[in-house]
Amino acid sequence: MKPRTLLFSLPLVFLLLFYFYPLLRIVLQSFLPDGLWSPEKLENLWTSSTYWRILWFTTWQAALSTILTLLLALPGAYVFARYRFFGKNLFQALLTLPFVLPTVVTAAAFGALLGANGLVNTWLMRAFDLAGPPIRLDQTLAFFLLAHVFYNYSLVLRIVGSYWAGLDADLRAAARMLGASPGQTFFRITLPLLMPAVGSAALLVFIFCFTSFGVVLILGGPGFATLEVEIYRQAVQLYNLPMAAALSLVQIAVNFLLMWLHAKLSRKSPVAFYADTSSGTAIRPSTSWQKSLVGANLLFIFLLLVTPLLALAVRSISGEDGPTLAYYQALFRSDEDSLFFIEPIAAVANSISFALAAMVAAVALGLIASVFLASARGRSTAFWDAVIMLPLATSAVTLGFGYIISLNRPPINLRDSLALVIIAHTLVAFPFVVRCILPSLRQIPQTLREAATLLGASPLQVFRRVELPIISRAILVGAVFAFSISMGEFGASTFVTRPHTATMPVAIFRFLGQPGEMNYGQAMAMSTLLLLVTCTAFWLLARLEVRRSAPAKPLSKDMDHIS
Amino acid sequence: MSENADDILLVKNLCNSFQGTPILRDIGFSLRQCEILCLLGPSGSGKTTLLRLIAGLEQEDSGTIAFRGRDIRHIPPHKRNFGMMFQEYALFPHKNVRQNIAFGLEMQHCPPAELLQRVEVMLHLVGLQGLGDRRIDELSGGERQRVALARSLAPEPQLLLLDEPLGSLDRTLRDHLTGEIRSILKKLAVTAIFVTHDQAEAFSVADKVAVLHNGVLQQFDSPEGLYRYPQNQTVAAFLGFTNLVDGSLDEEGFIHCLLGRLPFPGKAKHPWTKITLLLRPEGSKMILPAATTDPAILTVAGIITSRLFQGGSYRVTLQAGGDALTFDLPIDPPPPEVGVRIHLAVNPAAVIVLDQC
Repeated sequence: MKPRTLLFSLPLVFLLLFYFYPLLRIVLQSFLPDGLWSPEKLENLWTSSTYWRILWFTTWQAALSTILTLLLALPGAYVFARYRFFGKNLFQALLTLPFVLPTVVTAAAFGALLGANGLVNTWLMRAFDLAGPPIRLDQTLAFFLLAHVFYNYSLVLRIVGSYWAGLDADLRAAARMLGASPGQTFFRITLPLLMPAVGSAALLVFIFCFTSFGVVLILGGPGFATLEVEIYRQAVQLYNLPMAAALSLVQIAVNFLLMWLHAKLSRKSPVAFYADTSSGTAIRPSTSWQKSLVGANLLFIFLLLVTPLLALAVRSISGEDGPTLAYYQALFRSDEDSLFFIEPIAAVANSISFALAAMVAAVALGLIASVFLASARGRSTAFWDAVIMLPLATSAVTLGFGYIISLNRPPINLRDSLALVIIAHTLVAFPFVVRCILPSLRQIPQTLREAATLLGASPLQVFRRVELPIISRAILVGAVFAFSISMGEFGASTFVTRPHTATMPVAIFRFLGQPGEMNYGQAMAMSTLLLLVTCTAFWLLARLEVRRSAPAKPLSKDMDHIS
Repeated sequence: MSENADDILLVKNLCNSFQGTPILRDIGFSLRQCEILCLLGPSGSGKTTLLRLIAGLEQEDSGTIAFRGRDIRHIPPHKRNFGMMFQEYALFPHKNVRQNIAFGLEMQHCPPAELLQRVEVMLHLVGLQGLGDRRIDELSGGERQRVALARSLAPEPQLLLLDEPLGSLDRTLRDHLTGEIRSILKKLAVTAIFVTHDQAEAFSVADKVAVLHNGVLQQFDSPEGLYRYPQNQTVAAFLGFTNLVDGSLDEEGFIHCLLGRLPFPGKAKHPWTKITLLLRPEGSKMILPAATTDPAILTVAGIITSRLFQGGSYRVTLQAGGDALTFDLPIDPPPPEVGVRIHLAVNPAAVIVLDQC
C-alpha cells in the first residue's frame, strides 16, 4: 500500500468509531431497544399523528423560510451583481457575519432586539408609556423565521449574486440585439440561466432550516418542535431513547436524500458559461430608481444583520436603571443558586480549549483526508469523497444523541471524558476543513509536482516544499472555520457536555431558560463575549490573508484553467 | 464626409468617454447599402465601443448617429433591428442550436410554421443542416461561430454588427471563415460593420476600412487605397510598414533624404520642408551599381543584415545610411548572403509621402 493510502486510514478509523458506530447504535436502539427485535415501539411513529405533525411542521417551516429568504435575498443578489457602490467591500464583509455566528448568539441577539425584554419593546414602552410590550414575537413562528432569514439571506445573496455577476453580459446584449425588451431579456435569458444557482441556494437553505435546532428551541418556545427539537426533548427531557432514535433515523434519511439531491443539482450547473471577468460589468447606479433600489437593499442588510448584534451588545450593558456592568461581573461569581457548579466565566475557558483542540484535530484529519482524495484518481475518489462528507448530512443533535447512547459503555466508554466534546466538535468541523483544503489542493497542476520531482524532490519534499506552501492559506481558513464551528456548536454540545464542562453556547442556553433579569442579562453578556471571540478569530484571519495574498495570486490565476 | 443619398448609416462628430477618459473623439463616416465596413485598429483603439454605440448598447456623449435619415440615438437596442455577432458569440447556453437561431424570430412574433422554415434555411446557409438539436456545449468553435452568424442573420437585420467574430479561432479556420462570411453577407446583400484587429482579415472581408487609433479615425478608405496610400505614420505603422525615411523638400520639387535626391511623386499638396517617406517593401529589384541613371527612380545601397526565405520571396533587411530598410525581393535571382552590399531600384509606386501628424 502507498503511504498516502495508509495515512488515509486514520480519518477513516475516526469516522468509523465516532460517526458510523454511533449511527449504528441509533439504528439498533430504534429496532432493538432492549436487545430484542421489537419494532412495536416504532409503530408509534406511523400510527401516532403527533410525529407526522412534527415532520410536516419541520417541512413547511423550512419551505416557508426558504421562500421568504429567496424573496428578500434575490433583489440583494441583483444589487450586488450589477452595481458598484461606496462601501461594497464593507457590506460584503458584513455578509460573512451570519456564517460565523453561533445559532445561540443569533437567537439571543434577536431576543435582545425584538423580544419582550428586548430593546425595541423597552424603548417603545418608555416612549409611549405602555404597560406591556407592543411587539409580541416571543415564542411565535415569525420570530424564528426571522432568524432563519438572518442566517440564510447572505447565503442566497452570495451564491446567486456571484453566479449572476459571472453571467456573461454579452448574453443580455445579444438578446437585446435580437429584439428582446429588458423584461423579455430577464425572463427568457437571465432567469433561466440563474435557475441552477437559485435552486442550489434554495435547497441549501431548506436543508439548514430543516435541521434548525438552536433558534427554534430558543425563539420558538415549547409550542414549536422541529424534528431536531423533538429528538432533543425525547432524549433529554422525556428520556424516551427508542423514540429519539426513531426520530433520528427519520432525520438521517431525509438529510441524506436532500444532500444527495444537492450534490446532483450542483453537478448539473453549467459552470463553463461563466465569463472570465465578473467585476468589470458592475456599474454605478445612475437613475433615481437604481439609487433607491441599492439604498433600500443596503438599509435592509443593515437592519437585518447589524441591528440585532448592536442590540445584543447594548442589552448586555443596560440594566433596569441604566448602563451597568453587573451582568459581566456576575459571570465571574459562583453563587449558591447558580446554574453552574463553578463561575460561569469558566465556560469561556472551556469553549476556547475545546475549540483549539478540535481545531488541531480537525485540521490534521482534514489535511490527511484531502491529500488522499487529491491524489486518488477514478471512481473510488467520488465514493471516498462522499463518505467524508457524510457527517455534513447528519444533524448535530442526531450526532450528540448517538454519542450518549453509544460511547458511554464498552467497547468505547468516554462517558465522563472531556474528549467526548472535542470528538463531537472535530467530527462536525472535519468536513468543512476538507472542503476548504481539497479544492486548492486539487487546483495544483500535476505538472508542478512532476517538475519538483524531476528537480530531485522526494514525495515528502514535494509535499512540504511545493504543496504545503500553496495550500497554507486554505489550511488557515479551514482552521479558523473549525475553531469557530467548535465555539458555536450547540446541537451536539447539549448532549455531550457536563455541568462543569459547559461551553459558552450551552451556558447561554441555560441562562436563557431561567427566569429573572439577572439570568437574561448574563445570557446577553455571555453572547456578546462569544460574538467577540468568533469575530476576533475571523478578523485575525483577514489580517493574515492580506499579508499572504500577494504571492499567492499570480499562481492561482494560472490554476483556474486546470480545474 | 460627403452626404449621399445612398448612405444608410451616417455617423457625425461622435464622442464617447468612460469615467472621464475619452474613448472616441469626433468620429465621422458614412456607409452605403450592402457595403461591408471594417473597423480596424489595435486593442484599446475604441473600435468595439464604436460598434456598441451604433448598436445602442452604450450611450454616446455627443455627436449623431443617423440610420436611413433618422436619428436613432434614443431608440433602445431591441427596437433598432440591428443584428450583432459577439466576440465570444454569446450563445444562450440553455437553448439548443435551433432555439438560439429562432430567438430573434420569436421576438418578432414570427408564426411557428414560418419560424421553423426560416431556421432551417439559416442552418442550411451556414452549413449546419442536421445540427439543429445540438446543445451549444456540444459544438466546436467553428460551429458556434456559424450558429452565432445564423442567429444574428435570422431576423433579417437592417445592419449587421460583428465584433471580432473570428477572434477566438485558430488561423486556418479564420482564413476559411472570413471568406465564407463575406460570401454569405454578399449573397444576402447585408450591410455590415465588422470589427477586427487583423489587417489581413479586414482586407479580405471589407469594401471599406476605417482605421481607428486611440479613439481617432485615422483613415477611411477601400482596402486597396489604404494599403497603397496610408495617410500617416500611425496607419503605416499599424499596417506593418517599417521603412520610414525622414527627408526634406526643396523648392524645385525634389526630395532630399539620406538615400539621395528624387523627384516628388504625385502632386505636392503642401510645400513641406520636413517630410516622411514610406517605402513599401514590395516591387523593388536588385540592380548592378549605377545601372540606372533615371532620376525618377530611387536607388538604395546597403549591406544585408538579415535574409529570410519566405516561400514566394526573400525578406531582406539592409543597413542603408542610418536606417534599417526591409524589402521583399523576388526569389530569382536569389539575393546574396548576409554581409554583402547590394543595390536596389525601388518601385516608384511603392514610394509614398506621408502626412505629418
